[in-house]
Amino acid sequence: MKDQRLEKEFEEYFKGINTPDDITEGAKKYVKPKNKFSPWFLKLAPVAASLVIVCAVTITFAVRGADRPTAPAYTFYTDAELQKTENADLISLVPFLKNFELADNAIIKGYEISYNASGLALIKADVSVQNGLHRDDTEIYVEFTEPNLIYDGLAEYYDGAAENYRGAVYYLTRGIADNGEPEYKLQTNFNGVKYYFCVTSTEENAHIKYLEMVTK
Amino acid sequence: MTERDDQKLNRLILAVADGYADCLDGIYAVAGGRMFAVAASVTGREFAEDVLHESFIKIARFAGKYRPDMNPYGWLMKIVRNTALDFLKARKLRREESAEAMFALASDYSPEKRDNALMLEQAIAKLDPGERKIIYCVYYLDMTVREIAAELKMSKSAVQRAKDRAEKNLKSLLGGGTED
Repeated sequence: MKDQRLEKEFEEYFKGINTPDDITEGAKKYVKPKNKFSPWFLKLAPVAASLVIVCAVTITFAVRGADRPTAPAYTFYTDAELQKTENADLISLVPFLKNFELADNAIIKGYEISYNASGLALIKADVSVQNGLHRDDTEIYVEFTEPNLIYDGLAEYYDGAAENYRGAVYYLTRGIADNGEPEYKLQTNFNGVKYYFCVTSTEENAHIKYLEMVTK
Repeated sequence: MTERDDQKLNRLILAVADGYADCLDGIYAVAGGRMFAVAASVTGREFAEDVLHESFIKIARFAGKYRPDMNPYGWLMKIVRNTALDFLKARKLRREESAEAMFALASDYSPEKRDNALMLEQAIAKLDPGERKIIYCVYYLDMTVREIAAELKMSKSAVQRAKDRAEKNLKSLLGGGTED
């Protein structure tokens, strides 16, 4: 058992040391992607591989000629085209934001509402939510523009891997926030509205509950 | 509620084991200072950066062997220390963990934080060598009394007494009461 006072002194001491940059970059290529198969399952790998080949050939023939979705051509708008306000009444346009406002375990730390020439374009809210032992700090953007018209500050949300959750397609980028916690950048569309969440949380897969909020 | 650093490290190491390479940055953000101090104490600060590079490669490769019930600081510092010792061996450099290198990093601090760091380093320098070694094992390497006893070939009770004495002396040198 360490002495608490000394532990604190050393903690401060270590945190103050100027450490060199770019120490971890070279090591990242050594991180092994998680092997989701158990050793028992691996013994069946040759059989599974044969089955995969048979299935792949079958599917290829089945879908031959079918239309494949193509990536939409996005156009972007910038801050220069926006007029901003803080009219809180408009938050009620987004039901889950209203819920955050009313909930005991959540705080909306700030919001911003932006219009373009066509009308309401973007609602931004900074939310902090306490879920049991976990805390989420989340930046939420709700975009009401034409489907392919996107705020340029949100373009990076489309760089993530396309995934599917209960039929809802979304883009997800996993990263690390400045404070060392996992960060999830999620983009999804629902009923013609575009939703973006940047979730910094100690909870694993914290983005899923935001996806559920949008799609339920 | 804020997550304690050891809990955060535990989660980050497990995330690296799960394939999240970016979590290495998180580990460095939380424990980089201590890792650097341990590396510098073995090789001197001129090689500490190289040791950290190699240590992170080992962390990336062996994160899968880490278990959630392990002490994350102890696991990390053991890697850094062993990497530093291997580094010396590979280069046929002879050096022992040195108190001077161990406690001479305050000059790297920003001026406003330098005073506190210097005060701690000067206090540690006034301890006798045995006490310094115990402080190093406990507060740098995160070793348990049992591990220290095995390393120093002492009984656990002797290590516990030496640790209590070293902590008491260090707090006294730092001033502000011993709080015991």
